[in-house]
Amino acid sequence: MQVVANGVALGAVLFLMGSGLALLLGAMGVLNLAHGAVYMVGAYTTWTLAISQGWPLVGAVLAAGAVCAVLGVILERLFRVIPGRPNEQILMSFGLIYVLGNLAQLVWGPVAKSPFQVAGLQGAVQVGDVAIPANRLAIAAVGFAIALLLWLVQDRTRVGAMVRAGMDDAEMTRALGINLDRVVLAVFVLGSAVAGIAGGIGGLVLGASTNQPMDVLLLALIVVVVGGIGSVPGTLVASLMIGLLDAFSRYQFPEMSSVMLYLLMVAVLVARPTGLSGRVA
Amino acid sequence: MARRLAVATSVLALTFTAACATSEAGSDSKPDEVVIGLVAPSSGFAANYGPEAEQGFELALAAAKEQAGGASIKLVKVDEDVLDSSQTLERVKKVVESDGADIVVGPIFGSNQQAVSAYLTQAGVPMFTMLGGDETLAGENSAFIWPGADTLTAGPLGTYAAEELGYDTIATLAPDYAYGKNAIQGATDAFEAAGGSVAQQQWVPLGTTDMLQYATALDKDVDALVMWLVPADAAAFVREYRNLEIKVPLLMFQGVFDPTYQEIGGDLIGEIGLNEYNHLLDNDANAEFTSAYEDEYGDVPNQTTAFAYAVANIIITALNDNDGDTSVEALRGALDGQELDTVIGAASYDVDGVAASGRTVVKSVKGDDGRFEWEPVKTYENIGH
Amino acid sequence: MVGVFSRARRVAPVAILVVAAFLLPFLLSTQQESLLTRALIFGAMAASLDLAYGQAGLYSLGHAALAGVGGYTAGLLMVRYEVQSFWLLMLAVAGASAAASMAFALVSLRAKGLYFILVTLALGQMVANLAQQWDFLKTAQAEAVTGIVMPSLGFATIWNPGTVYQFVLVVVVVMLFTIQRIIGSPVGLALRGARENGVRMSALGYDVWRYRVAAIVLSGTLCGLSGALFAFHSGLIAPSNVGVAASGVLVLMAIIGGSGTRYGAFVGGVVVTLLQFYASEWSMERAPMIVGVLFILTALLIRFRPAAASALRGLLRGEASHASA
Repeated sequence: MQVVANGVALGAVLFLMGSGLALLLGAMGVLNLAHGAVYMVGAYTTWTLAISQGWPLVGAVLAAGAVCAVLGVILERLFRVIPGRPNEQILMSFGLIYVLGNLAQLVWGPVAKSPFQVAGLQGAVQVGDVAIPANRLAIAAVGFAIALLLWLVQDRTRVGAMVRAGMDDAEMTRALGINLDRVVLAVFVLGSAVAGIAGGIGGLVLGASTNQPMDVLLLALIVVVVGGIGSVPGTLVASLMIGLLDAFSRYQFPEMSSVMLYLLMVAVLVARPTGLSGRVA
Repeated sequence: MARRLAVATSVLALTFTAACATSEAGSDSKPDEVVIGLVAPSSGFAANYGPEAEQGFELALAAAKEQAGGASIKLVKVDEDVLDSSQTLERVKKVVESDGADIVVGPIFGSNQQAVSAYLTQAGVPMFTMLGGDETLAGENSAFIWPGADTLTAGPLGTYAAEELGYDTIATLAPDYAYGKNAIQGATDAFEAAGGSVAQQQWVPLGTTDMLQYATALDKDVDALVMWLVPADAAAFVREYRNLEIKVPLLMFQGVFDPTYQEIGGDLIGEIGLNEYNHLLDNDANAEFTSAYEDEYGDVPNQTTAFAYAVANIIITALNDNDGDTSVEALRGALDGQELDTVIGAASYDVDGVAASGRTVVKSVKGDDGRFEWEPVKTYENIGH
Repeated sequence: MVGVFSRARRVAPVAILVVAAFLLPFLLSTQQESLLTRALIFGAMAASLDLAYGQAGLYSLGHAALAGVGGYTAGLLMVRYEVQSFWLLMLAVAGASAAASMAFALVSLRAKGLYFILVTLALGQMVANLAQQWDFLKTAQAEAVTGIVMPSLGFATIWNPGTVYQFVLVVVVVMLFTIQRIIGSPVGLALRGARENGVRMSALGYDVWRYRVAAIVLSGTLCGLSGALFAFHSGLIAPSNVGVAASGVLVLMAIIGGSGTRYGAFVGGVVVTLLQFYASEWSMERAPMIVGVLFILTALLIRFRPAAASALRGLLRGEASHASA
């Protein structure tokens, strides 16, 4: 049972990493691999505000989300120069990963920040013989809140409808007089803000480090690929599945657990080439 | 037209080659100069090591007035690529072949030591490690391992656990790569030799971000958990450990280094560690070093700086003994069996170039000034070969 | 007559460059020879990748794994089984990487578009993690296969950085020539056709899927051979040479040099390898920033590349003229 709890706890972290990226990748073919770098900026910003300056965690995480939203605007400006060109977008993404990682080293130093310790989120909740650390519960709560929010935005609002329409048929959507550039901007801002919040709240267990642009990108990609691009429920299901698989495989065959994750990703894609619930990219 | 194009390309090619050829000039070092290449990371996730090692090395050189064995010493920094060893190898080739390095200090990471060892051995260039190394890199190969072989360096942790603390069973936790396995092996070998038994061993794969499962999977019936993780991972693990309120005592090889230790020290009070270096060590060489460091940087030095300083002094001592001869044989000869006075007390190298030195069992405390410290408890001499 | 002349016009500069490159060791330090050897190897690797990436439009982010299959095959055969012959090793490498590429193609080609990129990335990272975890793929006390040396050619060879460079140059030229032949062949044409419009190619009676498999197998095998050269030259092959970061760098090389062009990817491989080295010489702490900014600028400016390239060509041919009006 403890393994299941661990898996769900990890799943919540994974969902936070993946949900912003799922949104961005769905946005009219923008391949923004700098997502992990945005996550890192969110984590470091939260560290500065909550740990170094002593802000309450909620305020710090929201501020990190705002900072990353602004970063999202800048990213959108850069990616707008090269629409529909995967080559240039990959090049740009890697450039951003290098630059932001090195900038973080310059600003926050090369030594990684330990997991944020916040009053009120210490200790664990004991259910039977299963222990769940309180900070994981906070992460899970934020994760599900964001899932709900994203789902509402995507399924119930005008912007969401435009995004879905743009994903299905960009030409037709444009022909209907919808300004897709504004929609892409909105998606960038929202996706980056979610990444920033994820970095901040995820910092409760992962801290902040200059490794994150690559590490987080890889985990987020697995989640998005398994869950399907542009689908909030798919991302959620995939995160939990992967969290559980990781927990079980570390328990059963610890040596090969990291291989298992990618095997799952490949297996899902071979069986269902568009992910568990995705659209055709 | 074809001719014109051909002429243009060949002119281009020639200017290119000429540009390359000119940069070769002046690459050889003067005979009365010993060039030392210091290989440590300056970018990426371990970027602190490079500047820290440089500080220690510079302090030692300044104290020796950049002189040893009748030659002046010149330091050339080399960036160690922590991810791609083949990149590090190219840069080490450059410092040896173009900058004329006679001695290489570093690299820090085992993977990079393995990558450059064959080349340096073939080139006859001695390689002085600062933070451990596998003993196979010494002997036939050109390395000098400081402060001791990886498979022995953590031994006193096992001895102390069995003999002083009276523990019967331990669990272990370390990363799933050579250095982690070797360090833990040192501790478990000593523990078993003293009559204890190892109940559980967990190995964390490289790239693991989440430490929760390793905390929950711990066998809670053991007397102690012997662990070594890099500071960031150790911090993540200790946080989960405390959140889950696990009571099994920790025996931490290396403790946790600053600045991470200052962030999580509150979670570690009372736990036992084993240090290779500790800035509170009470000996003359360390007093001299810590005060020189304090004057220069206004802070307490860490292990990387201390060991760069120690290794620099060892090289200077050896060069003074053999009139500046930088060959592997000459340095081995000069250092073999010599009693060295270092920042961690008495130390020596054996004929294969593997050092033995003191290890200090330490305890986590909070000092009066609010700093967390690892307070020395007991010292074991002559550990490492 | 005209045909011969235009052929000579195309071949002559290339031949001169090759000869000049072959004679370079007389002007260089041993370390520069070693660095250029590395640059050539990565140039060949990027050119091999581009056969799938640029020519066939199969955006793979996992090709370093195929190069890794080559490197590990060569390294393990040499270190564990003491196979020393270059020819035997390269034969085994070609076989192993062709088989691996076939498996890679069969799995990855089930997905399309963005998903194809992500599957290749997952496959590549899976191989890297396997190399990290499986003890068979490690030698001595290393996390890698170490102790690899230059293999024997069967006749008297004394390896020094100069001869290694010249030998690698010859091998790389042969590989590039092969790649050019493939690009120029009907297969190459079909690959480009499938890249531009797969549906139309199918309608024309081409089995697009088969051509795509062929593209990945050819490019993967050549990548594997380059990977073996890498292992010989570096003396090691490690998980970090196989993972997604390494694949990403290969892709960057192809893109920067000009993906889908004749020599672009090769040039990109050489340039990026030199850039990685010299950026660290300029500033150790800020090297990633320098490289990253150059990548971003290239990404933003790359659409002007055709114009710049044709202007350069015009200049070289003396055709730049103010009289265009």
